[in-house]
Amino acid sequence: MIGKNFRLSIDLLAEINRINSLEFESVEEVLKEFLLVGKKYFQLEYGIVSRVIDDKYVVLSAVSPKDEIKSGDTYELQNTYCHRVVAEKKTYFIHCVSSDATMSHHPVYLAMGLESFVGSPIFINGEVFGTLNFSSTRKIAESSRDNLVLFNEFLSQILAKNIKADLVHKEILIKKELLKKENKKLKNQLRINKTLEKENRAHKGLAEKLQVIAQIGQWEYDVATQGLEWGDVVYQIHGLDPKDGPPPVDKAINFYAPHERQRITDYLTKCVEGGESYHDDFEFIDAQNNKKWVNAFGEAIKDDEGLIVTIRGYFQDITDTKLREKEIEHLKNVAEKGSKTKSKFIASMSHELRTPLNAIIGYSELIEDEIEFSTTEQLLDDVKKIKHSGLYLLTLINQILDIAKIEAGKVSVNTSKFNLKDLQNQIEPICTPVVLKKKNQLIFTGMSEAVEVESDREKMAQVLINLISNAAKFTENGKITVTSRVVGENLEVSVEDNGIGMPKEKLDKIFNRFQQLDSKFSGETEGTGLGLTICKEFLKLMHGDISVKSQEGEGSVFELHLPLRISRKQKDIKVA
Amino acid sequence: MSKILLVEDNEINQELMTRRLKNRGYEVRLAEDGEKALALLKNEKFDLVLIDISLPKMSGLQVVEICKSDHKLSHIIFVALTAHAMESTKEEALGIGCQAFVTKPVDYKLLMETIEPLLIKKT
Repeated sequence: MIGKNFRLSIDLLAEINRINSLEFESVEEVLKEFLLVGKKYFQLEYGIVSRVIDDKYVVLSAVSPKDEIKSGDTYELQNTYCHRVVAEKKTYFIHCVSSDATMSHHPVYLAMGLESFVGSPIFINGEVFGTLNFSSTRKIAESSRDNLVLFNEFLSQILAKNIKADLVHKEILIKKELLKKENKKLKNQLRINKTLEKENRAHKGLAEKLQVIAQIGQWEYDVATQGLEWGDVVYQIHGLDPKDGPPPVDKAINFYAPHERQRITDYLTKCVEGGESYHDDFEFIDAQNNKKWVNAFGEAIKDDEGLIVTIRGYFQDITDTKLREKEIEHLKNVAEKGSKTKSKFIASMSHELRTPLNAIIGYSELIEDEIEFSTTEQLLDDVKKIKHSGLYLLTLINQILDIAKIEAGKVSVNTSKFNLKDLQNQIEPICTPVVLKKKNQLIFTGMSEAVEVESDREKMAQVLINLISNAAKFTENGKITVTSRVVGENLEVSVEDNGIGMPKEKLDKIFNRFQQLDSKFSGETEGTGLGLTICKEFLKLMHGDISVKSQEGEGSVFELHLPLRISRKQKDIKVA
Repeated sequence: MSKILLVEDNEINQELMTRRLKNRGYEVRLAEDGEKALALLKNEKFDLVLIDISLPKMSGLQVVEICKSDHKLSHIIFVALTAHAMESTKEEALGIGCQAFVTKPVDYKLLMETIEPLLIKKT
């Protein structure tokens, strides 16, 4: 027996060695080889390697006479002979099921009539992985128990090693696969991240560019540390170097114009303490003392508990916009003022036209009323008043038209050469009757033939007649002196009287339209109040100016300054 | 014969109005500003006062207000004259106690129709 057993052992080892030296594609093929070896040496026609998972018995590999048992077949563990192998974690041997009363009703016996059986657990890492079992429909000798158990356990152990190696290999493969997948995922993520980062950088770059273009800077204030953090543009607006870092908050406030500091302080306090955001324009002075306008926005950022931790906002240089706004505002004001002046002019004009018309209509009606009993003298007197008012109305209308023409730029300068004596000869006969009316004297000095002038003769004459007539109206038994002298390239002419003069507060207004007519319409001193306005405009056209000095009760002096010659170039300049 | 005080600063209007009223048989006294008008009103009795609203120094409305607050003068009948034909001015004049309001240039027919009933009522 020993010799036979020994021989068997040697053969078995040789078989195992052979199997181990072969290369298999899968562990199932290895298992099959072992089963064939077992079948051959044990003389049992059924051989199965199983995997036991909980109460299931899964066939991993099998040899059977008609191949009726296939890998993948699954049975309930308790319906197999291996039930005891797994339960007791040890080899189980039966040589004759039919002679065992406890086993003769076993489902396997009933179904397949298997009389003999040897099965051993396959331990992997101390756990029952499955079983290796051989069985036969033939009864076998009880005496073969020890050999079969020994060899089956031996095969089980070798199988366990093969399965384990395979598992390890599979595990490595699985892990490799998993790693590959993980790697792919990571690579994918990395790619996405890179794209996002690129986009982010692009956005950030764009945002930064936009900030620079729009002169918007971001800032943040940490409530706990009172630390400020500034974006580059914020430094730029303050005229500070980013290298030096932001100033402390109280110093930063001082960049606001003095009258703005309280306002921004109030805003910041409300923001830090009450979480109120703010958005407003402020006057600002940068480190280089440049006056600027900024648009400031701030908001409070709260933590999860609702505590204000950060104040952040933006800061924009809106100086250009503000300046434009101011310019528009100014133009609007000018336009409005112009419009108001115009309306006022129309209102005064209609009032001034009404005055002589009132007299014309009034006296005409009076004549009608009194015609039955009126004397010729009375009638003549009334008709004279009508005529006088009519003439006055004519003057007024002409002067209004003159002013309208000047304003429309339709009055041009007609230059001619003449001497001052010619000018005196032109105006003297016109002025004399008015001057004599109140027993005044008219004296000309310096109006010499030697002084050649190249200017607008008609306008100069009109101005002088107007000034002399004015002087004559407000002077009685006095002297009206017209003095002219040449100073360099300029001509200076003054018209002086020793009449009633004017109060100081009236002086700066007398060149304004209708100024004189603020006072009452009185027969002798009547004037349209437009004469001096026209004089001033004419002087401007001739590149000169007019001014007045006066002392109440002592008289007035009107002084004209104008170039002796209006050059061609000057002539071309339109004077509004 | 009713006695009228004309308070008017414009010379032409003074003459036109005075002659018109005299032609109707009224006795007319003239004051060229508010102060002179008040002085006259304190010393003489008038049946009616025709008063221009825009006067130098003191406006016609001020004169009316002063009279209305003085119990010796509060009975005086005032008819306001003004070139400013504005509804608000008219209401203001009537509000402070003027009996009537006539717009300049004066329509004499309308003026007579306005003052005659006031004078008749008085007598």
